[in-house]
Amino acid sequence: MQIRKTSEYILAYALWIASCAYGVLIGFWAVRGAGDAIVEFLTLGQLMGTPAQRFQVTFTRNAFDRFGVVILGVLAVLMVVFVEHAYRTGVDQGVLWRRVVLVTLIETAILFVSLAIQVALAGVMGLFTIWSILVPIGVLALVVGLSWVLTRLPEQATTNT
Amino acid sequence: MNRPLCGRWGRLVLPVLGVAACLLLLLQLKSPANLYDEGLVLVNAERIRGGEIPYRDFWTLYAPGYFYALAALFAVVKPTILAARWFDIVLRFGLVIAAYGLARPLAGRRAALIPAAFIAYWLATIRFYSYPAFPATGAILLAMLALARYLHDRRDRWLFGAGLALGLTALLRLDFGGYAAVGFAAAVTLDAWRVAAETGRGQRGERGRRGCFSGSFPASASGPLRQTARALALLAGGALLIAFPLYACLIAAAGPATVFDDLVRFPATVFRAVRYLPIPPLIPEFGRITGAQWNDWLRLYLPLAVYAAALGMAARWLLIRRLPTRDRRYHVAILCLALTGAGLGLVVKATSRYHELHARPTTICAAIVATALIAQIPARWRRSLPFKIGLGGAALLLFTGPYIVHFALLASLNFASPAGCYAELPRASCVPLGADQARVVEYIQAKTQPGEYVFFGNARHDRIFVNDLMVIFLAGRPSPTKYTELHPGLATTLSVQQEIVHELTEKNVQWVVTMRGWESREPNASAVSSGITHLDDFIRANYRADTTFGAYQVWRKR
Repeated sequence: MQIRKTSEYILAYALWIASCAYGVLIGFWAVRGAGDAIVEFLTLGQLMGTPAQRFQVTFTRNAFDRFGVVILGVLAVLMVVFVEHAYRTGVDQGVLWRRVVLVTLIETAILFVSLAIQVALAGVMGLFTIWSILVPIGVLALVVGLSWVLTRLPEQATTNT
Repeated sequence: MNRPLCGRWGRLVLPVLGVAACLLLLLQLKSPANLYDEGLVLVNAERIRGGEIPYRDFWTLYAPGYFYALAALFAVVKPTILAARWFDIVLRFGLVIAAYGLARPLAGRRAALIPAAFIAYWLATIRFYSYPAFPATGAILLAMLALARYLHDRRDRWLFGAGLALGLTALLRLDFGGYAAVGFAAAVTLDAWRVAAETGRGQRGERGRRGCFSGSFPASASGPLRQTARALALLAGGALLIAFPLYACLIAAAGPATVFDDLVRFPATVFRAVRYLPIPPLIPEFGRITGAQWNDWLRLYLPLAVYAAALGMAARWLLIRRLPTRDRRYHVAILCLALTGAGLGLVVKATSRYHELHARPTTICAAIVATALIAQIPARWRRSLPFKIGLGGAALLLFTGPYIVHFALLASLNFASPAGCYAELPRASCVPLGADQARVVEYIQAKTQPGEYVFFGNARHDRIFVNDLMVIFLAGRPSPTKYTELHPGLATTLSVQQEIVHELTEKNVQWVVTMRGWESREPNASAVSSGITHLDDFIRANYRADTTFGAYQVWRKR
């Protein structure tokens, strides 16, 4: 029993590392990309404005990007702490897999929303291919699949009597 | 079937969304004035207010209803762009409410909020104020609401009411009225036939129980026919009661040939030649497709897919399973059939000049039909988490892109606050104008007397895309010619140019304003010169250049 519990903890921490790596990747690649795309759009007016405004655009975009990285870093730390707690207590309560699926579902949903924003904004600038649609649709299918798995997993641990 | 919205939140959600829709619709109240589409409606309303009669005194290819409505408004309040926009926004809000009211019996209270929200979103971002297609779409939805009530309580007055709303549609847009009439006639025919057949079966069963031979029931053949004819007569009667008097008066004033030519022949033939924009191919070139082309593709083929599904559902329930006429699903099928008929007609309309603006009415119908279809999915699946996530995600990916961009561009480029004032001309009523547009109006107003004719044309009339009609409205000077709207395929012909020249000469017009720019590069006949320079030659020979404001050239009679 003790050996089984230990192996579950090892699995939980392995999954924690994987979930955190996946989350950090999504945060610093997709969410940052979406944020940058939004800021680029919001500063389009400045690009067409006075020379002073045009001069400021680079600094504005840079500032948003740098502050964005700091904010994402803080969120990543919170995620690491939260996921560790969720997985560790998940082992205790016997709902580890449900928690893993839930965390992966949330991360993948964030990935999907970030990609959808990027597709919308990139489409206007002509940066649009079939993959612009197929990749988000694939990610959406993954989200739907994960949500289906989540509904199949028991909310409470089943006990053998 | 649908769980009611819970408690206090349930009572609050609708007013909150109503206010949100209002704010959304008002967000771009002060977007820049549209020189052509918006201008032509305002100018025609003003001409009617001045006592002129459409088709006889001025040329237009549009139905007269909206012009008269706006003329009536201008009789009460000062004729300004803003007054017309407020009126339009009220009508657009009515359209949102009608969409909610229609979707509610089809899909339930909560689900009905989704198409209403999308429609509010679409109408808030499309701009093109005073465009009669949206009130006409609203009138179609009113007809649908009346039909829904008729199916519910089977009172003739609701069918007649549906006819009245169809008549209103035809007054606002003749083509919309025609398409909707076809859809409604099909649905009402099928319904009346089924009701009569059901009643006949009931009566035969009654006679059979009394010992009569059921096959010899005499009303079995004539009953459905009579019932159908009666239902169609009620529908047509209502429509004619509203539409016929005005059209009859206009035909009497302008002559049947002129009205037919302007309202039917020209839109069906010349308009298509000079305004046609290609539709996206069914299988797009994925290697070269742009974001805008992808959205165009969705706007055309997604409604078609929705209509195909609706027809399939209607055929299954009405013809194969032959659901009883009191069944709720039977009502949904009949309503979807009517709206699909109208929506398919609007697809045909949209393909005559494929553009977001012209595709929007059919997407409004499709959004309601799609919600009704989704509501028919078994609740076990529909309420599951994967379904909700999948549907919400697909909606986010497919429908929100253009609007994310729209609002991002609005925020970064040229957002004009609804409370701001961006123009000083009285008729502009703070709506932003082009700087040259405002200056030329001020100049003309300073040089001419109220009531003095001024001709506003283009720098060249052998090749026309649009002309600035807004400047005519802003200047408030009467047009000397029947052809205020210089439409390609019409004002580029010799006969019309000769007529304009004749009118300029006859009315001794002292001032002419021409506008350079807006040359068509579209893949249609508007980009091709007709080679007719009669009007241009006349202006150059009889007027001398007075002054220039950017693209506007002011000419004074020699």
